[in-house]
Amino acid sequence: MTATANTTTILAEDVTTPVVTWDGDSPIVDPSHLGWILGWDLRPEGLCRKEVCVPVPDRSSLDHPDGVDLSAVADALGRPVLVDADAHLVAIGAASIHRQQAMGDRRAPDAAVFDLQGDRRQLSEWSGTRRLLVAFSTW
Amino acid sequence: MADENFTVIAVALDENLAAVAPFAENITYPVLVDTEHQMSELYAITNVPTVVWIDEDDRIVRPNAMEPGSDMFTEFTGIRCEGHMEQVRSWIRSGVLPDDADHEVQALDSDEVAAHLHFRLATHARRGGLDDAAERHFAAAAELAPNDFTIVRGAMPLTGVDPFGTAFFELYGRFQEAGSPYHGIPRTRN
Repeated sequence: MTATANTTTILAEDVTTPVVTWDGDSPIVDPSHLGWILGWDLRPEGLCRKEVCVPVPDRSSLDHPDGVDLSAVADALGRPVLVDADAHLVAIGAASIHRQQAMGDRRAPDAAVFDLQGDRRQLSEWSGTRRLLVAFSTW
Repeated sequence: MADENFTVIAVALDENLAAVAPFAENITYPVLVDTEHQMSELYAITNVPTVVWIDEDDRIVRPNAMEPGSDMFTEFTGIRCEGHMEQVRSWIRSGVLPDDADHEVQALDSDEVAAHLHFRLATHARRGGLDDAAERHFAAAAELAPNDFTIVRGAMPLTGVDPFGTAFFELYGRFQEAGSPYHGIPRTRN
């Protein structure tokens, strides 16, 4: 199969639009873009975010002649991935460990949201305050 | 309770900021929008209004419960907030938690997480004019999480379906028939 490069919308903590080389259903990205897309960089010691690194036992599982396989990187981080190669869309969920900690250990997770001006905010901005998080909707 | 190191944070599970704005009029606490379904995924929020009590050390002291955070929701839910607000006052003033605060809430399972990812893809496909892809992913999301209102009902205004019409009553009937499942403290209603 011939690989084709397309601007692709990737939905993770942030929404980014890097150029992705599609090898079938595998989104291949430039390894230097991983920090931008996912917040994790690929270093010799593994996948790292600031000082925290997750070892990648089988580095070759990530590598591809055109870059790194984003789905394999998400797998290595324990994050669920959904790919629509035809629509050039990829969604990457939170690490399952984070969801388990939120419910099992009662640690309120941080999450990115928007205010009504359209500016990105973090729930952690209200740390240090007792609070009621109220999920509501207009529907 | 504004001077007691306490706040309400209202987060709309909506895509359209302009639609939420009227709800925030005359509201003094923060009103935010979970356009990307990241909060609902992490906090396993499957219906609204769901309230989570969080202390100053980021500990969830009372997990998900369907409660109106204020009477701004009464019109939609028929539930008045007074009983719940009394419990909140006891917590803020005396540190007393209700008996149900120990209830253990499960995180979303893998199908429910996949449903959130499909929903997110669908909203972006829709924004990009990829209507077929949007329809496909909204349908996949609803199939994976048929009792999740944030998925099934949340998709209605985005797919031209009246969220207060027949489709809603079908969802509500199915939900009740399934025993009103949601990720939170069990509610006894009506």
